[in-house]
Amino acid sequence: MSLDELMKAWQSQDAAPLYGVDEALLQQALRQEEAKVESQRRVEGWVLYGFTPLAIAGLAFLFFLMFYDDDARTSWDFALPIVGAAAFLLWACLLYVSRRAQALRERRFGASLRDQVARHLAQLDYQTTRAVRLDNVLRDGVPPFVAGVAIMLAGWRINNEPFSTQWHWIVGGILFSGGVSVVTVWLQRRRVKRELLPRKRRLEALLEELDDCQ
Amino acid sequence: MLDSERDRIFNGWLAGHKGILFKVVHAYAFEHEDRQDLFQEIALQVWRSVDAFRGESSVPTWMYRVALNTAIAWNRKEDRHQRGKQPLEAVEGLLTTASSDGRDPRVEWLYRQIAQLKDVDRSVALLMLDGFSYKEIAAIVGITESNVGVKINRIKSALAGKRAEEAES
Repeated sequence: MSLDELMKAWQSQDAAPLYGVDEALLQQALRQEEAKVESQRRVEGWVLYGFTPLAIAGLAFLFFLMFYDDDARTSWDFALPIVGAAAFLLWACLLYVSRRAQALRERRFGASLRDQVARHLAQLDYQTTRAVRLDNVLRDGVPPFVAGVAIMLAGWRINNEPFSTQWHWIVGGILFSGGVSVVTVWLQRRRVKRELLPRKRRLEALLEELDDCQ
Repeated sequence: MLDSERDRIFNGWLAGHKGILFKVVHAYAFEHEDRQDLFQEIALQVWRSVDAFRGESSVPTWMYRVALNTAIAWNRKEDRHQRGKQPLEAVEGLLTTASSDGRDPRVEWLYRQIAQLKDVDRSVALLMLDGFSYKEIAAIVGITESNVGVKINRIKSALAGKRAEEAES
């Protein structure tokens, strides 16, 4: 059987399609998917651009409370909200710069299958290195940890409670913040191992398949 | 672009070329549920791609490109995982198997052979059977024309060998 005959047989699908589609259901499914993506984007945007100014405003409020109340303050007291706000700001900036750089990297790829596979790989590399490489883990984890601790300490100082009666809350809070950071890193690494690395290997195999006769 | 405009264009594309999506789905997913899932995913990507279409290629070429890119990176297990625990009922009934009346019986034979090819070769085979030129296939897949030629020759030999084998037995 020649290729022409096969192609002719193949084209019989145009007259008798393999499937039928429920177009109303399809539209509904598309709307659902799009709404889900939009809501994810909104949450991410809120965290990045909404939460940070809110936290900084809260810390500024603590700063002014310290400044205008009648209690004696040390320069360390004033340093706490400043350090917290700086940590939040640094965190948001680092996150923004890292995302922007990744978006620019991804823009280099074209629309061909090979480029799309390479783009997926670049995305996976970005996600895996964020969870695995120490500098990235520190970049993502240390600023929010520092900011959280600064808020806690500033809250403690503003109430003028003695350390001897409050130490368990402070130490507990710091341990809790540290614990949350460690669990977050562990969950991210588990996701990398279970989900991202197998996907990465599959895409690398595809890229090799594309290259096998080049 | 307004959603209504995107819907209008997408519906037009789907009405004219949904066969492309069916072929890709049939070649890359093998269970009915998987096919529903993959079809939904491809349709979603085509719908999203409407904004990016600049008319530099024909609509069928564009749809093939998006469909193959999606199918080749698609993995049912991962897809389910990424969607969280979204119930599959949402897509059930989306795709119904049509009657095979009027369809050449060699079509199913071709799909069986295509299923045995590697992922990339499968894309090349679909494009070849739909009459795309080496140049178009090279642009869609992202390899050189001479590599397309090598792959097509391999596919043709494999198909001819299989045919001869079956004729002997």
